[in-house]
Amino acid sequence: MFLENDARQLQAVFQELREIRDKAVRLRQWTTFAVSLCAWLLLLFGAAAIFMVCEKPYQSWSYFDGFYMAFVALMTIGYGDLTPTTSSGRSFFVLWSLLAVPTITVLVANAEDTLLKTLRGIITFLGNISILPGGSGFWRLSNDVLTRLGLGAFVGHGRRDSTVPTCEATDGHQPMELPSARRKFQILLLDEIMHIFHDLRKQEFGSYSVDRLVWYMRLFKGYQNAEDLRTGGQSKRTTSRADRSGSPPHSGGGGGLITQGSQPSRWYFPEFGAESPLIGPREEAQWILRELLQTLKMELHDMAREEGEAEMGVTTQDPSG
Amino acid sequence: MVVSERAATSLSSYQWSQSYYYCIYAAVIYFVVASLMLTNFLGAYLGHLKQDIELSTTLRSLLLHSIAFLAILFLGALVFSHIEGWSYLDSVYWADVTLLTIGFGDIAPDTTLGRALLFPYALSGIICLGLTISSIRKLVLDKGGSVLHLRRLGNMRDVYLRQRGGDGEQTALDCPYVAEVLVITVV
Repeated sequence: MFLENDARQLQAVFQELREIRDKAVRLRQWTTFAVSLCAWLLLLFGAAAIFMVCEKPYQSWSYFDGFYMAFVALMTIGYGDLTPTTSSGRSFFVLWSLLAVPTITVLVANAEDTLLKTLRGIITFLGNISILPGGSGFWRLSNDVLTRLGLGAFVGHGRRDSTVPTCEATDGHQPMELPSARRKFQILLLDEIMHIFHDLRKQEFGSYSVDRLVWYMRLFKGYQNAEDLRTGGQSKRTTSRADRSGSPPHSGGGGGLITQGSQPSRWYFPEFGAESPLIGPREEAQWILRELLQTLKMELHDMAREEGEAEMGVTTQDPSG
Repeated sequence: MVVSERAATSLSSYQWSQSYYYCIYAAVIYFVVASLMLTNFLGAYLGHLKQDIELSTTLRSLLLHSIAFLAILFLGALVFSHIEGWSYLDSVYWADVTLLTIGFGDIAPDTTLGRALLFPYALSGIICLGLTISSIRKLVLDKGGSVLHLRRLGNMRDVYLRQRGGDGEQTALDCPYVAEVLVITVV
């Protein structure tokens, strides 16, 4: 049996690291949104004040006139009923519009990450209960809604994101059993690699379940160690490359025959960079793919060495027999 | 009475030319850019920052697109000021309003040549503007691109690991952050 304690500990670590990741991503999205919103409002209101000051002696604009002109220009409506005519107003207009138009695009791009994601959920919901043909018909859905409303259970529904399916829901992952033969273990590795490769090609990409991550961590140990853990026996050969935290990720690979580290948190996310699995689901899957390939390479390497030894043994034994 | 009022305000009705204001803006912008470059230079000199600035493809394309857009804007303004007989800076204002698709209409080409040249000019300029804006968007939406985000994420992870097992290693993310800011500002 894979050690129960170890597995539970790993699951807890993954769960909490994922929560940290989500928290950081949400924080970043809302920070950038708030910053660009502030910048945009500052640009709009500040520009309105400056336009008012510039145009007051010649067109006697009020603050509202300046704001109106700035808004019509920024939204690229461009009525042209109020335009800057003084040299100061015109020169400032050129500078300001070149700054403000990109800012509004940044705002829109951020809004897509934050505001529109929630908005899209609402729109999909409205579409489901009104016109769009859904999996479950109108009446069932409306009944569902009514029961939900009756129970008042809308409070706990914010976290259930139906737009991003997890991969588990779609691909039907096979049971997590370690094979008994070494060759079968290698085939299993190849299967997993193909699985992740296909998942990575999908447009919509959800996170793997924590159970599946723990399963991969087991695979990363290599056949011998995973087997030892399965049978509960002591590992004779400590050739796991689990604790490679010192080595860079692309150091040629396969060479890290270091004694196995006992800390699970240590060998998850070994070093931190742009390719860390902590960044997002896609990076996580890429990391798993990389590690699986490394494991497979190690396995084949070991096997080739053993075959070489066996051959040597055969050649030395042959003359005597 | 109207005449006397005009005479009284005639002196104050003079205004500085547009070039004067552009000079002020240019001075401010140059000052900011120069101080950023000085910071960057000092940082690299004292060894806090990397020596060379690595431009990502997104940044590079943003740089190229915005330079192309500004070139089209100012060269087109020059051409149209000759054709239409506007002053150059009025022409810059017109080009800005045109290419940003605001289209006030307070200044518009009158001659047939100017109107005919508007087609290729507006097409190329607006396409360039679209490219610039799309590369800004890409830069903003670049997931791994934000060094601040990476650093914050790394810190959060380390705090967590330290609380848990006491083996969290310090993530030393030496980054050309100031350099990045500088490039963006220059753009």
